[in-house]
Amino acid sequence: MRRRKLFVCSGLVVALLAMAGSLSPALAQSNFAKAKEYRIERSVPPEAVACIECHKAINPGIFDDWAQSRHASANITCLDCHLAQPGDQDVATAHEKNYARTDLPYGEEKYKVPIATVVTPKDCSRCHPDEVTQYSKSKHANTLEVIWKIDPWLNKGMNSDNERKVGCYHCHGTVVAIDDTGNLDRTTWPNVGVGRLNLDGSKGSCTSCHTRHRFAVSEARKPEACDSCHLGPDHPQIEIYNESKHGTIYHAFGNKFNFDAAPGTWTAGTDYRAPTCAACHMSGTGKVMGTHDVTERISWETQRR
Amino acid sequence: MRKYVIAAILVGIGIIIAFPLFSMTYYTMVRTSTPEFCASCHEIQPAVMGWRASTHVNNAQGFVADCMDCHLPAPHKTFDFFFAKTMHGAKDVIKHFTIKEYDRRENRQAAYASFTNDQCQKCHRNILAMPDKRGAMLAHRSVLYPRPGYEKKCVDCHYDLVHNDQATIMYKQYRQLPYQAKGLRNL
Repeated sequence: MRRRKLFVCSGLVVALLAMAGSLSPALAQSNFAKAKEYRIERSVPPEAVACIECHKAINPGIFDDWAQSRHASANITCLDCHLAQPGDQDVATAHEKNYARTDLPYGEEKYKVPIATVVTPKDCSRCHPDEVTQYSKSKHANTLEVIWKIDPWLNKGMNSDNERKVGCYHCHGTVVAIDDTGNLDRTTWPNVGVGRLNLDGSKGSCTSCHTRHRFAVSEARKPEACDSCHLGPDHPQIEIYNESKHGTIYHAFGNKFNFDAAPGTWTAGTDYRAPTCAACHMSGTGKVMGTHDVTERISWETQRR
Repeated sequence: MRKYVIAAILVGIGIIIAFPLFSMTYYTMVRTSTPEFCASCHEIQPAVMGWRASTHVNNAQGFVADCMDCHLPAPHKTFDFFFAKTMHGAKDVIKHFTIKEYDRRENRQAAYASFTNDQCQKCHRNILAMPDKRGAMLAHRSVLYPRPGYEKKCVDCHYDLVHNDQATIMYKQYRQLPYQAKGLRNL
């Protein structure tokens, strides 16, 4: 008798749980991502609200990346980085037409602002001046000049345009240009080469290591941020790292490292067990201050100075 | 008794000499401190015109930052102030007759080099609390409390702010684009 009661009770519980499951959309449609909400609860310029609302619909991926970033936490919106000044060379002319489109909820003249597609280190320096100053001194920022000075493959025309585009400029950077139609030259953009020469005269790209639109410090602390360029026969740093004990420990235990530590607090032995590329070449430790000049600690570079 | 008479005469003579001297100095200072006076040199006229059209003149607060507010040491540094003012005046007159052409770009760079943050911070004092501009807060913090070796000037990021050759007057309250610093000048 008692056993039967227990059986009925447990049956009821199971039935209730199943009902609850079918009612909750998250459980019922686990394969469908719910669109991320964004409520304008903090002070944001109306032009930036227009950016966010429109691009949230058109580029939900970009929006979601941003929404998960520290920038979003700090209320830094699209406009803070992408706003251009009227007359700037890199103003996206095609984009301005959207403000005249009546089919868009924010297609109104009052939201019209000049927007630049390319965000450069100079733009980043508005909020991160020290990091950009360090970076601008590094070989990273000047790597386009370096290859043209020393590389016979380029200077003697020993490779094709396509090889240059995918082989050299992809990492070393392009010279960003505007084509005849006033748009960004397709052969020079998109590009996130560390030595990219930008239209505002600044060199490089912060998104090489902090990919957009998340710009996470945790990403740049991982070897994967470096290995898209530092690989292969001409610069096999990642292969060397991977086969070192540092790399072995990273691959074995890296998932337990704390890559999200606040800037200036990432600590060997506490947050990570074996160094990654950034740990030695950039991060601060003890009395050594962190730097975005990746060449600062390379012995042959310090000899040159 | 005679002692007092002599003292009174000396004080009287002192007043007779000092009073006109001080008042004339003061008068001269006031007369030579206006933007109109600065614009009496034709080399400076474009700068004054640019300034007149800028937000440092046209804003909802009705506040006007004169030439001297930015270009001379703060008046509480009295000696520096008088010295710098006299130096500038004397130099400008001599240069006017000796140099062939006034290079505005070069002089703009020289002005940037001469600015100290104190000069801007006379007015712009509350630059850390900007809850709707976290990026600016971050950047300003790195200027007010710089890491050794990373000292910066206000004008490193805030440049071409006032003396722009523009056709229309820029009212701060009617600014169409939100104001942003331009990023480091020397990149």
